[in-house]
Parts: sequence; structure tokens; C-alpha cells
Amino acid sequence: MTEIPYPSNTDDPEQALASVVALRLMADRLERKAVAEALAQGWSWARIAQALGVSKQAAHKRLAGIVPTIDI
Amino acid sequence: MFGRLKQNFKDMGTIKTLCEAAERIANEAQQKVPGAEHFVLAALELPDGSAMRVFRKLGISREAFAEALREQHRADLRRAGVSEAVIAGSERGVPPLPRPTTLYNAAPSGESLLKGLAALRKRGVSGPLSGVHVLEVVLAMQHGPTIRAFGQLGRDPASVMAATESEMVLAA
Repeated sequence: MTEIPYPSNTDDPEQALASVVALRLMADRLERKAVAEALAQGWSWARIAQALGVSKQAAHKRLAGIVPTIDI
Repeated sequence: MFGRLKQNFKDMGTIKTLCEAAERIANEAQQKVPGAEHFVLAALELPDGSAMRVFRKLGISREAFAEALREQHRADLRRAGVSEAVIAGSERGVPPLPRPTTLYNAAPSGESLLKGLAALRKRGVSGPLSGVHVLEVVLAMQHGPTIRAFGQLGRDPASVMAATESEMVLAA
């Protein structure tokens, strides 16, 4: 059986919880990058919201203002 | 009576400066809302210089503390199984955060800190609100990036508290 990676198998709750917080922060950064790329490729907010599994209103409220990625 | 009002007015100005600086520092770290650790970095910028004096007593620079926070974040990700390459990739090319359009928001630890500052007067703390008070409130928190960053820099909570308390005596 494959070993479950940290933080799930640590006995130290402080360490496990700190890793959860860090993963959330990294997920936020990755989300903003992905949304900027999607907008640059012409995706609508409705499509982005559907791909993220949230309502269009929720996606717009949380992520509106992100500037599309521009390749120079 | 007039003295207390004047003090409250000055405290509000200090809290406004702290909140604005903490938000800027959080945004620079790609975080939307400031946590207690961003308020500590903001306290080090306050003109009263008291938080900076505590750091000097401990032999820590602002830059070293900020780097310890960043390194803690990366270490927490590595322990969760995230590779160095993925971490570096997640930090590159992140779009800037949009300007906040709602009322001021802080992360829960930042909110606790602001409540702790507001409660200082009820505990009989006198003198102008200053950076060292931010440290005092943050050090009462058992967990979080601030305590862990001090630990990474080899400073245990007791030694940080002792340096903070000696500065508090001077500030009173």
C-alpha cells in the first residue's frame, strides 16, 4: 500500500496543521495563476467558475481584478 | 479625561498605520489578508522603534525574520510532500492581488491581534500604543508563523518575551 505523504501521517498536530495552512496558501497562488491564464485565453467567468466548481458569483467575488497573463 | 481622549486618538492613528502596512506586507507575500506575522513586520516599521529595539536585543534583523517566515512556509510545503521545483513554480509569475474593494479584512490571527491591542487599555497598560505592544499580544499566541519563525532563528518564546517585557517597562 502506498504511504500517505505528510501532513496526513505526522504525529505532530502543529506540524501537520502548519503544512495544511501552507498548502492552502500555495493553492491560492496557483489558482490566481490559472485564472489569469484562462482569462488570457479568452475564457469567460462562467467557464472559469464551472472549472473551479464554484458559482460564477463566488468566482467573481474572490478572483475579480486578476489581470490576464500577457506573454512578452 | 482630555488626556485619555487624546491618547485614544493617537492609538487610532497607530492602528491605522499598522493595518495599512500589514496589508501591504501581506500582499507583497502574495497573501490577500494580513495575519499576525504581517503585523509584526509592520510593527518593526513604526516610528516609535520599540519593536525594532526588541529585535536588536535578540540579535535579529527584520530581513532575517521575513526570510525565516518564507523559509518556514517552504519547509511546511516540503513536509507535505511538495517538491522544491513545484514550490518555486508556484511562487513565479503570480498575478498581483487585486486592490481590496471591501472594508478592511485581516486573517483570523490578524483579527485576534487587533482585539488584543484593543484590550490592552482594559488591562491597565498605559503610555502610547507602540510596536512592542504588537509583539506582546502576538507572543501570547501559542501557535502560528511568528512563534515558529522565532524558533527557526533559535529564539525560544521565553527569551523573546523577556526582551519584550524589558522594552515594555521602558515604554510605560
